[in-house]
Amino acid sequence: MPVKLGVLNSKISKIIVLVFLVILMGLGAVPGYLKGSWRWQKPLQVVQLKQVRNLQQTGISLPGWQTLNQQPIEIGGHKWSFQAIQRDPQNQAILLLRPQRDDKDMPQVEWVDLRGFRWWKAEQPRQWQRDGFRRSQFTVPATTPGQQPLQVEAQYFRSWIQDRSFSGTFAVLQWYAWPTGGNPEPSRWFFADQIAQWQGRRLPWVAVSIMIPIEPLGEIEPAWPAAESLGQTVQAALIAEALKR
Amino acid sequence: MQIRQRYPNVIDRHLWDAAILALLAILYAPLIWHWYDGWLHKNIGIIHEYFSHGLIGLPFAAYIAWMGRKQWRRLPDTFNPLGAGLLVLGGIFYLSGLPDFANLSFPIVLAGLCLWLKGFPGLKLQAFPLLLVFLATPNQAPYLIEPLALPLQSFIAHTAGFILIQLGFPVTVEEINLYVNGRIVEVAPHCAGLKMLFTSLYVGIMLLYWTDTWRSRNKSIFFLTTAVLISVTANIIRNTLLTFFHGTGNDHAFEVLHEGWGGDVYSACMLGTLVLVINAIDRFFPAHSEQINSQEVSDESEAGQEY
Repeated sequence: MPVKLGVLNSKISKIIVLVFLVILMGLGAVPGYLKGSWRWQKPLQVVQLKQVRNLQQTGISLPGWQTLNQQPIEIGGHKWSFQAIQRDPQNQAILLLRPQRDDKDMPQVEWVDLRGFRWWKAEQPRQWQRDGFRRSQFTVPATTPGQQPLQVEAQYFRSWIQDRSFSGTFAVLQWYAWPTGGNPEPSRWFFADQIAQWQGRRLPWVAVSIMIPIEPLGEIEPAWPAAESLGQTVQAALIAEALKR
Repeated sequence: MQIRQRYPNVIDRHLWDAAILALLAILYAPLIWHWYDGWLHKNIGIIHEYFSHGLIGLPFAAYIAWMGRKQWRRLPDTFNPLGAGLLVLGGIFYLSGLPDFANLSFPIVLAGLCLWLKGFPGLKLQAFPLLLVFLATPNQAPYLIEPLALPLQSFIAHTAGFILIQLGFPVTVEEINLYVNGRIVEVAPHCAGLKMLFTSLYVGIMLLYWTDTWRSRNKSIFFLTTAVLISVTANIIRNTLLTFFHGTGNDHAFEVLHEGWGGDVYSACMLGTLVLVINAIDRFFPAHSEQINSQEVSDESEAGQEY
């Protein structure tokens, strides 16, 4: 492959490089110098940021579900929305949402943070015990015509805690939701967001954790249909409102 | 040894090189200024600060490249098509204006230039400075690596907890959290010394090159392993102190060691021990015991190309 160059050719190859660099300068650097600001100084803006951040104050309204109680709370140094919801007295759930805070905010250790989550006063620091992890997919049907149905992957597991003032067992469904999908792995959002950036936009994200109460140390599989249906409802509601462009 | 060509030709050649360097400076000075600003004033973000070893790494890379300028000129002008590919890729990244890609365009364009102007031998000659530049180029890799650090975080939290219990402090450790007197210290990836680990490896590579130790593979592996061990140990001690300060309500000391100058001094001391270690390696395992070829050392100009 390598070609030895004579004096003339070596000059031509240098001219080509110079022309290339001058073009780069003209297209990339000169506008920056003239404006005094550079596009790479800041990440692209998340245009939906305001409506996404609002989630933390207002929670989300879900068709068919009634909100019993909603309040902003702090978990692991981050602000979440705590929302107790019910479809009927037999079907209750807790919905935790942590919206993206700013353009630089990336999903990280939300699931670890949630292990320290408590809404009651505890004398001793105690964490949620968890087991039976599995990955679950669910499909969110298109809300508007011409839209593709979305595939969301979430983690589904059993979580329980025993404290003096509270004890309970829950089936938990967790994922990061973004306008075009959902996955519990932060890196999946990251790569989707990188691709979107090349198209000039950003993908806002919301960490979602759904907790469905089950019998003390009971099985989570019987709760799966309820969890799946609530998961679909939440992702669809997020896309329709907060994550909407 | 090449025969000196006519005088005007020499000036001519310098002019071309100077023009390329000047254009590179125009293209990248604002970007590198931005990096330095972020490292010195900590105003871009934690992930950017992961690369703050570039503060010394970039000047060192420039120095090495400058010292090798005669060898560079002695290399015959060849041309490798891969260079064109890298230049175009770097150009697209630069023009994208996306922070990480604009950053990455710098090492890519530099590598492309080496290949374009001097072919593969040119890339080989500049391999070490290019490596230093590449490893100092801010990108999101730490974000993707951080989740893998959980075992390290857990290990550090448990060891720090163990030490504090031995010292008679009531500590509870849950995964990566230390609870003391009702207060929580979380050993985050950043605090777990992932950054310090990267910095010590980077400085380690610089020291290996500087002392010429890199020529011996065994010594290099031994030194880098020691560097990792020192870094992890230093972070166990640091997190123990942090938990102690936090748990005893000594918030000022906590702040100083956590984000203030105390942390910087602590890091500097740790890097200082690396210098001591490499000096010790040099003293206790003199060069002749390894398969270092003395003829290479004596012939500086040849040795420099062996990367």
